[in-house]
Amino acid sequence: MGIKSSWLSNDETSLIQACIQGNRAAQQKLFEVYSPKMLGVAFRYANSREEAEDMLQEGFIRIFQKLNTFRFQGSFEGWIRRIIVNTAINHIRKYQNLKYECEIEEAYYIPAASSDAIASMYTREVIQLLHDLPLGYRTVLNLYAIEGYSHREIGEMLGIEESSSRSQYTRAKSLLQKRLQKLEEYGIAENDKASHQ
Amino acid sequence: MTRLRINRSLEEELARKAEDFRVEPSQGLWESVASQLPAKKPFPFKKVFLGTGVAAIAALSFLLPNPKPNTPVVEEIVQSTELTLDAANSISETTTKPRTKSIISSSKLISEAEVSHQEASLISVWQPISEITGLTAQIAEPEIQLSPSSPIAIAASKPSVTEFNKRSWFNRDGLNLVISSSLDQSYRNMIAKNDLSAEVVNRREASDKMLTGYRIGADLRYYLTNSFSVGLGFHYGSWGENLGITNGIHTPYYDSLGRANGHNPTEMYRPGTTHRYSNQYRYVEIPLMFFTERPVGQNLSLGAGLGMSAIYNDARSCLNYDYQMSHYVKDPGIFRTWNSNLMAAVQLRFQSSENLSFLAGPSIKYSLFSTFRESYPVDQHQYAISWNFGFQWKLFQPKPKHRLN
Repeated sequence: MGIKSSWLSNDETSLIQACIQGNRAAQQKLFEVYSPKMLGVAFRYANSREEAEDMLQEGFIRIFQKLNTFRFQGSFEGWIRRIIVNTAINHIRKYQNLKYECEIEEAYYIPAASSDAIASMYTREVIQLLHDLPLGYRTVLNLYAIEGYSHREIGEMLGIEESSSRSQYTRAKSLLQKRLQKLEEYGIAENDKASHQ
Repeated sequence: MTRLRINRSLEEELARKAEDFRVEPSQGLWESVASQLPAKKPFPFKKVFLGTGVAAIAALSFLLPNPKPNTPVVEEIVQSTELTLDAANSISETTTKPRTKSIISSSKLISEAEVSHQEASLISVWQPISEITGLTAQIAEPEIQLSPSSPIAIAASKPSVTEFNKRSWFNRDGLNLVISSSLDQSYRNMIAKNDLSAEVVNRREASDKMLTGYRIGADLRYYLTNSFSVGLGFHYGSWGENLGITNGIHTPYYDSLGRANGHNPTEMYRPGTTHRYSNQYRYVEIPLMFFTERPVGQNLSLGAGLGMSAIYNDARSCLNYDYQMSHYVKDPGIFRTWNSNLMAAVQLRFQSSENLSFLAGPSIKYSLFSTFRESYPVDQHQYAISWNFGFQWKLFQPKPKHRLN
């Protein structure tokens, strides 16, 4: 191949090339390097750890199958991440019925929760907060706020209108803010933080 | 405005927290992934297929500018034989050898084979004549006014006799029957027709891309010239694939889903490596091929052909993945439809007798099998490399077109 990119170290390039050649040890190394972070990505879309591992498994099989199409340009982690996210979305579309219903009055109530609440929480608590959102809301919030996809792209990925993606996101964020505000009111976040210390 | 700032900040905080989030996979997850990966890099069938195609095209381009067809050569020889009769008669008058005249005068009808025989006779005639009369140098001179293409002139040059012999056996004009068979090895690439079937494709790609098969058939090949022929045939063939499967998930949900769709839950499988299952297909095809040939040695010709065929495919005993049920299920009618092929072939033909010749050579074939089945909407692009062998029998020989007066 012989193509090198400033994004990739020599070791990483060699590892990828070995994986393309079907070297099983190199493939295992690649899996070990990226699987914890990618399982974290899949976990945000899944309902359970088991489902997240299913997504991860399917995603890595696809990664190894498509690795020869990687052009050694741009971030390799970003390339892997896109495949994992797409796999998770396909998985959700196949196995889950994306529903966006929730308590309407709750969704439209937009409290003025600050991001300080999130900043003061542990990562796992934030993920748990995301997990508690309805699947449809959580999916759009993940794709827009965390992955950085546009509403047009999200619409194409989920098979919904762009305007639907916007409205779902607004509702998801409102619901999240309301729950954050409750946490602030009850000081749960602070207590949790103290208990972890 | 304040709210916008806060919201943006909320998103940033979410992204930052999510970026830090890591989960260690369970023990055995890598083994599960590895079991669904191909053991080694697959044979580069696409490259070999394309390479063979390029070679076939190159062979065609080499063969197409073939020398002038055989028929004019025969006509030329026949016409010049008439001139030769006069020349030979005039020569024979100066000799006391009676057999010269008798041989030539007995030539009433010259067919393709007989021309060859007469040519040989003329050589044998010419040699004693030249011995007796010592006219070799004079006859070879232009002032003798023999046609340059006359058999006597040809006889003066031994290689042209060989050339003529080649053309004589090479000429297959008329209708020929070709009985042939082949052993096939194929590579398959599947293209999903929608997002949901993409996963089907990805799962199958890991286990079954290689196919093996055979074909038998009969073709009628008509030679338009001595070097160009067209063939129409009827073939029967079969191909099979090995699937990697594992036991199905037997939960009440999947079992009831399978029954609702007319499947036996005990015959539902998941992709995996526990067992191998052989999917068998059979087909009939009607090929139309265009061939060009050229002599490459004594009784041997090299040919190349291009063509296409209509193919009707049928499944004999098949499992196909159904993404709606996430299982392989039996669906024998899924590819029961007409499709199309493109083919290219190279062949060596060995002439063993007047009417019989034997054929052998490689060929490549591209096939497209499509299904619009909701549970399996894919295009299957199949690239086959085959080794063909068979024989060719001349069904009839055209009537002779030329008579000597």
